[in-house]
Amino acid sequence: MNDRILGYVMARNEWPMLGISVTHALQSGVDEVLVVNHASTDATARGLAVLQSSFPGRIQVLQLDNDEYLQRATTHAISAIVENFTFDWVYTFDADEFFLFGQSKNLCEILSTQSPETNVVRYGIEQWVTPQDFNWRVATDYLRIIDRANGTQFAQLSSEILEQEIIDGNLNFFDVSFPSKVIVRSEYFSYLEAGAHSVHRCITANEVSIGIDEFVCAHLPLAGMERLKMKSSQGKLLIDAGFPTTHGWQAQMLWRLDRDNKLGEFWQNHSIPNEALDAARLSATPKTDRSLDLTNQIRSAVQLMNTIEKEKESVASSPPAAIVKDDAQWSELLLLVNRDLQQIDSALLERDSALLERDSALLERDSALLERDSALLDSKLILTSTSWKITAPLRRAKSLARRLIARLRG
Amino acid sequence: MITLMFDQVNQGSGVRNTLTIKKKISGRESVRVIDFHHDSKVSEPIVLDGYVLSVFFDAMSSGSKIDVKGKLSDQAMRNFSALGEAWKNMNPNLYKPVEISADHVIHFDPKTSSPWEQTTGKDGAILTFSGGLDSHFTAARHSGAHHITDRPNGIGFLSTVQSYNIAQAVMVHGFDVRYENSKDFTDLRKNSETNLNRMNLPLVTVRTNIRVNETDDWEHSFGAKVSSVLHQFSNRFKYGLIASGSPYSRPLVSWGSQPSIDHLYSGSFMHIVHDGAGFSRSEKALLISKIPELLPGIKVCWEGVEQGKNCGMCEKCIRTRLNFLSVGLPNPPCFDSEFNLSMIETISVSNQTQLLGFQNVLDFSKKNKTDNSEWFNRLQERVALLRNQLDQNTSEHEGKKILPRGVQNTQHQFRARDNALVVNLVSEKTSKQSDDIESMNKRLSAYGSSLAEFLRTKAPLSLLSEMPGNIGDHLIWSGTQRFLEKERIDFTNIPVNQVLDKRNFLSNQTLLVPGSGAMTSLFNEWLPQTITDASNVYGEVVILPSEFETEVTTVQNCLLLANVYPFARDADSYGKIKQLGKAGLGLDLALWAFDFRTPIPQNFSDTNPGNVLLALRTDSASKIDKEKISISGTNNDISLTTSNLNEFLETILAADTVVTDRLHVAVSGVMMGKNVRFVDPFNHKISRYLRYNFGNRFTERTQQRDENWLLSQGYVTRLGR
Repeated sequence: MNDRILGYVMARNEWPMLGISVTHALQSGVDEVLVVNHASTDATARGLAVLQSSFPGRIQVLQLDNDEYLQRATTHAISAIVENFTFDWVYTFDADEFFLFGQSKNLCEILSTQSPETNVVRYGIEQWVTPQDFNWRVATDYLRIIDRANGTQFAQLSSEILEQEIIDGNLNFFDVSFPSKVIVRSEYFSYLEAGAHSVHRCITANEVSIGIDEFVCAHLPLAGMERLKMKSSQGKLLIDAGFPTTHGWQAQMLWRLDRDNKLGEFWQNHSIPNEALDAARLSATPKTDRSLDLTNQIRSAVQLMNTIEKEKESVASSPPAAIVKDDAQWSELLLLVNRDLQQIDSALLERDSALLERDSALLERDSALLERDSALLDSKLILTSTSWKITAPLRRAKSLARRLIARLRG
Repeated sequence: MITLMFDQVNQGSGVRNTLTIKKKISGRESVRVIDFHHDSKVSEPIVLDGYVLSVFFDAMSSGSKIDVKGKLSDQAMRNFSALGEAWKNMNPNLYKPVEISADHVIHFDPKTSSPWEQTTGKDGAILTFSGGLDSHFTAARHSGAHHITDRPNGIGFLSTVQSYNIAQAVMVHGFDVRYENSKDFTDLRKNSETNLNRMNLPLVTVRTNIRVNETDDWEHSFGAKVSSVLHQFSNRFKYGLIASGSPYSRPLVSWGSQPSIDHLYSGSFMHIVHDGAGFSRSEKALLISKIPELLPGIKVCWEGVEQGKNCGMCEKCIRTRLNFLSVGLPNPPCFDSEFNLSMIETISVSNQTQLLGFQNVLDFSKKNKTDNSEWFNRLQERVALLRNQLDQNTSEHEGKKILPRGVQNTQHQFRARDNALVVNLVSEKTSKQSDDIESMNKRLSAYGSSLAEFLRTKAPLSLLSEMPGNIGDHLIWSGTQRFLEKERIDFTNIPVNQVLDKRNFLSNQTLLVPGSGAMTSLFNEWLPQTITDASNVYGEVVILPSEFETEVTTVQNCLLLANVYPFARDADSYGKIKQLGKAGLGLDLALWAFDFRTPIPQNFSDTNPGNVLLALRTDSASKIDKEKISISGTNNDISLTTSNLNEFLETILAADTVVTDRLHVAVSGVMMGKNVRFVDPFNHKISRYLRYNFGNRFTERTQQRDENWLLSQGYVTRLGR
């Protein structure tokens, strides 16, 4: 019997890219996809509703309205769903990832032939570079992506160095290979580390690696200025939330570039221009090979999405459907997860208001101290001033006179 | 700098202690909030000792000072200082001692400052309870399991006078059971509470997000974090007990909780006690086996899908089963399934610590004569097999790592002569360094670690030596050698004339080629071909940071070889070599030759240059047209005229201003804190090097000039005038 695979993707304002990656996954051996729609304000909800009708019963959507970045908490909540269903494997992907196969296999074939002892399957990631005028909102534009980046860097550099060198134009983001990722048996899902690059190190897992000629994932990390801006905003969220510079370093770097008005230059260096690359700036531009692998394999998904995009317009005016599968168990679990997330929400709110209260008390205390310090400073200034010193004999004489008068009266 | 602020708010029947952490590193500020939700009331602590422990490992690894907005106890100040030293001693590459300051330091006076006496008396103790075998052992031996009539001597039970007066147990939600996982924690709490009730111990819980987005190594930091929770009860209890995880006879080094360091987590108001290290895990199982009603509630496993239960199959579950088996209890009721011998064959370990756990079972059984059984024989065989596997892995791993200091090999021939001045320069380093030097040192350190990590994967290494080059190249060789020694990377020297002698080499070796400018259009007479030939002899060839011009066919052919790994020392070279498929970027290893020196503050300028060293090229790479321009008679092309690196560096050291078109003269000048005026030779060699290696550092005293400037300053003159 074939293994059952659940796809899991969390996305925010990534339509139609999300539609293509979900469609491609479903067309390539994934049985069902669970989409967490993270507070999207674009066409995601509507698009998913239409896509659900194209894949009846195979797409579940969890609407997450919390604006905060809670990937780990959400993933943990989702694990409750995963554990309650009979999926053998969980494939965690992002909207900008599309798997590519060699030897006409699909994911189900690959995973079903794994030995029962194998619980983690590792696969490689290829970075693809988009044309400079790429419009990520137009489905057919994805068929123009034919430049595969060569990760030419063979020695690992720390994210701090990478960021600096990329900003200085000494290095290109695509020079660095993207770390490989893993597909896990469903019982290992809750141990996945953020980004699905590994399972938690406390877990002993039997891992096998799949060769890039068999299965690889195409990644479109940088797909136009608009998306760079979106990632930059995400970087700011990470920075504001106090994450270390290594956590989502690319997004944090994009925010810093954006702040310094260098995002445009960055995009020039990280996309394929119509004309030849500038030979004088080879270090700053990507080294790529031409390939039709991506366009050939996602063509069918793109075509379907193209149709759906037109169909979506017809439901544009209707409100987004209550998107849960007509299945009592799924609905119940989605409701439970939603409830958990709301609880997290309210706990965060509570914490924030307490912090606000504490901060305002501290502010009050600080301003009182400031007031006291300035009063002390004033008195010190008076005591050390020349006029105070000059008038000292007068004050002494006055005091002496007072005492004399008091004595005479007494 | 890490600034800590504490706050407490009432929350239902409990309180929430909030620690706000402001961290400022390199001008960037981040804020993190750690909450501790207590399910019962605890008053605000007199001191914030425990909260320092919450961030202690973060501070040690980032080298940050901790500033506490509140009070600390004097004992904590002393202990935490020693704690930092201890962890640095155990992990010198990871941690630095931490400097701590506070608004107030309270000097403990036992006569007046004993808050516990009003609550639990002067000896009250609290135990951190995970539900596992160790904490059950500690709870049972100290606490009120007094109704147990059979309390045999010698297995750990303590009399009233010997024991700590444990009045409460605390479980932390957010350590072993994840913060978000309320269901499993509720189950675990229920089981534990039943057992604790049997020992007359009330249970409280603390829920904390301290491990959410954690960057500390938990195996190192857990003792500090457990202690940070115990300190929050310092108004009620004098002692906080942590159950030992390994016996004195088999100590774990570099582990978060150890008998030798746990007392350093103490402050004046909370004494942290490491308990039970006098007993192995099997001995602990023996004590617990005497209290059968506790057995169903023991929880040892953190690997199962349900964190509230024992999975029965993981390494720790099987080890615990064997612990009980060794004391004659094959199927304790804390496991749902029965033990079978085939479980022994499934044991796998990833480190010596885990292996020791099984060895301890064997030791205990031998000592107690329970070794005459099938399970013992099978376990003995399994442990032997695992030990072999582990030893093999370790030796392979160690082989690729660094060799101990002192096991250094033959050095370059020039070394004996060169070293004196290099050492002298190192020792003269002033303590007050400029910002540029500080930031340059950080850059060197970051790049150095990256290169060292890469080279360690390529061992064994042979370093190409005794090759052609001017004295400027000797600076690179000297820096390469110092870098390898500093990173403790073992290598052997291989003179260039022996590099192709196949009898001397093995194909599993890597040839290291020192950085140079000998892969360019102007200089390529011997190196590209030598590397190409060497690639047939050596498994791999690594070209250390160099300048490249891939327009040269021999250079291109050489770099296209699959087993040749080139590092570029400037962005232009990097851009060129990456077009050939693989490329590394690295700083010139000459920068490791000696430490950067702080310049003596003097106002030298073009009009007041002080003592000038004019070191212009006299070879073919010079851009000065010798037919039209004559170089001043004071010129000294020291890369060619000096006989060794000492002389070369001494000459630069004696100058206030260095005027040159020689790359490594300029580089040495910058490193020694001199004023440098450079003129680019061919191909913008110096400016592109400086732009990448130094970035925008040292720009005030390192400035580019041109031929007209040389003329205007009289360093060169036009012929025929």
